[in-house]
Amino acid sequence: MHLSLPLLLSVSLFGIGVYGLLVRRNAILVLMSVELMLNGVNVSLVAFDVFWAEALRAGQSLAIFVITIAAAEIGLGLAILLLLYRMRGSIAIDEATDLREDAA
Amino acid sequence: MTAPLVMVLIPAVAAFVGLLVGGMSRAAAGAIAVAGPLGALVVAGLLATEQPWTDPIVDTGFHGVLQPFPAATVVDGLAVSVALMVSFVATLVQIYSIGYMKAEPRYSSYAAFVSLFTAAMLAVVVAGDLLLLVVGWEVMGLCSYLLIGQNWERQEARRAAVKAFLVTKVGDIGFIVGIVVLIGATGTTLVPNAVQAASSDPTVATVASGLILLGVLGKSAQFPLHAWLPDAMAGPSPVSALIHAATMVAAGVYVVARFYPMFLAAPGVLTAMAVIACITMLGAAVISLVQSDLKRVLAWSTVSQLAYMVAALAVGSRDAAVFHLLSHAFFKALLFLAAGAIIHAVGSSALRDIGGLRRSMPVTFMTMTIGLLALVGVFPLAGFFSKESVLVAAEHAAAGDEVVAPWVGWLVLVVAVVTIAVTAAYAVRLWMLTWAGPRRGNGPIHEAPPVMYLPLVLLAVPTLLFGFTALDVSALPTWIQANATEPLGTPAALTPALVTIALSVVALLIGVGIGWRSRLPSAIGDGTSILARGLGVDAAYDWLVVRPFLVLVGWTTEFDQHVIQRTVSGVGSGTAATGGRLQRTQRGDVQRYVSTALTALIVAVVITLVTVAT
Repeated sequence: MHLSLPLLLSVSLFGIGVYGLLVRRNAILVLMSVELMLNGVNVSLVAFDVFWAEALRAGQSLAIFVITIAAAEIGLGLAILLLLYRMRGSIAIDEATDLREDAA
Repeated sequence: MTAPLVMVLIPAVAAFVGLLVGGMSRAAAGAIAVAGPLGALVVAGLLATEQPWTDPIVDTGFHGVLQPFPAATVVDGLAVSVALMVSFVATLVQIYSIGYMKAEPRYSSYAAFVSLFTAAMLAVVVAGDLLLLVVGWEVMGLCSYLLIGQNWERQEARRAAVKAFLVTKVGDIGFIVGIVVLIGATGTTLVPNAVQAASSDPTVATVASGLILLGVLGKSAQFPLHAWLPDAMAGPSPVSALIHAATMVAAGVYVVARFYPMFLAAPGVLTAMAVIACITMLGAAVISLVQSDLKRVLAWSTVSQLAYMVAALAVGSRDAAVFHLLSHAFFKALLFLAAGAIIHAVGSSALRDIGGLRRSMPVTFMTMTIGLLALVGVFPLAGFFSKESVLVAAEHAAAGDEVVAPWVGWLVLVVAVVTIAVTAAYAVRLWMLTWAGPRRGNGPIHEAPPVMYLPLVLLAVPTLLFGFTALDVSALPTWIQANATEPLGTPAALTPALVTIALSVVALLIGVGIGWRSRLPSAIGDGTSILARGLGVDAAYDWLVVRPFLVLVGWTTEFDQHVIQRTVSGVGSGTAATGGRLQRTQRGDVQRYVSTALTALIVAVVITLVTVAT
């Protein structure tokens, strides 16, 4: 299989993720978009790992590392969103601006 | 600890004890105040009986924590005689102050400063170390400031205090630099060694003595640094007596006497001294003639009499200068204390309020008359002999027997004789306006209390008798030069010469005639003529120093406000404005942050690719 196909998949996943991150108001969907971006990167890591086929399998190791981090991140993120929902009854991301600096 | 140091420390300790306990009991404050100078007088008397002193220079090696304290002292005839006079006058001033300052709420601090003043003067007198000399010299400047400003509620007193401090400080800059030059050039701080080393090198002697002369002009109120002394009248009368007789003004003359061999090695400096002394002598006497205030007459008279001492030093006679210093101290302290008694009784120092006091204040009348006669130089009072000794010294110089040129001697001789006439004129005028004629003003006049007139009587005794030391040709000079650490050859006689007596008698009679003409109260000016205001020296200072300084101050203020202030506040407001603008981007919108970060990333990647490609 040519390298360009998995890379195309990777770029598509990453692009969809970026789109979701930038335009979605629902924080759950924003988190899912972040997951898409991470997994897009994972696809390219595995693809390059197969392409180079080096002894240490650094690409696969890194992909497993990213999956672990992503799991932890989604746990934290969902916990924060749960608290946010209990406090405000809404998880619209553009309404959660209480920590902004007001202009002097 | 040696006797001279004890002599300095007794009044100093009395000053601090007086400050601590004086507030609790007025009687205790008075007792401590008198005990300080009296203790110094006793020690000075004991030192005097020990003559000849076996070891005049005592390096006491009083080692402090870090450095050996410069406590070397010199005990010779010069030091002991001046120390005796200083502690004697200071003791009488303290006794007198108990009565004079009865109503003064700040008596304890006043008495403490007088004691400290005495201690500082004694430190200068016995200083065998240049650093100790400077310490005493500067402490005196501080004490004069504090005491002239004793009545600091009055603006006049505050101004006079600051003026005295600043004017003497101007001279002191020269003095300090001169001392540093002396130490640097000779490599020692011991006074006798430094003076001896400097006098063998004409360059060092000229530079050092010229600079030290500046400090002397300030302290001893000689032209052009004399302007503080007449204003110092704002202080209480006993302080004037102390400043004008025992401390402060005497210090300048004393230091020249102490450093005399070095000055003798610098004829140029001596000539300058003579010219300055002549200007001061005659100018101050003429100004004194038109003053409308009792104490101001005496103040200008002090300036004039100090010039006699400086002139005597300039024409090569240290002994005549010290003789006049001692006798002047007695009669001028007497005059100021008597003036204080008059002010105490009348409640004013303006001559137009004083008059016809002869019958109501007999003791003050008698003693002040004695003082004025001594000031004029009438035989056989102390002032006659000491003034004659100055004239004789000038005559010797005119004959070419001294280091200075004969014309300097002639100048001093002529001006001194003319000044005798003017002195007689203002003394007669003062006497007539104070004591003769009908009583002016209202209210009963009473004689001063005994605690005040006793010092007057005690000062009248040396005023009457001190001059006779000159009859024994060599008594006083031998005494002054006993164990001198800077021997000056055979002591010259201080006995009057016939020709100078004749000159001064003629001058005196002319002066009495002039003074008699201005004996009436109607002749009192209002103190506003240019002569009465000191021949415009203050105005000259105003134009030459004060106004340019104020302009400079104005420029500095402008620069500070418009350049420095603006820079500082500009940095502050600029930072705040930049921060305010940057703040607008922080809206709490996460997606905007992310898009900004992505945009930046894309830009960075594009730039990198373009750079790599080319």
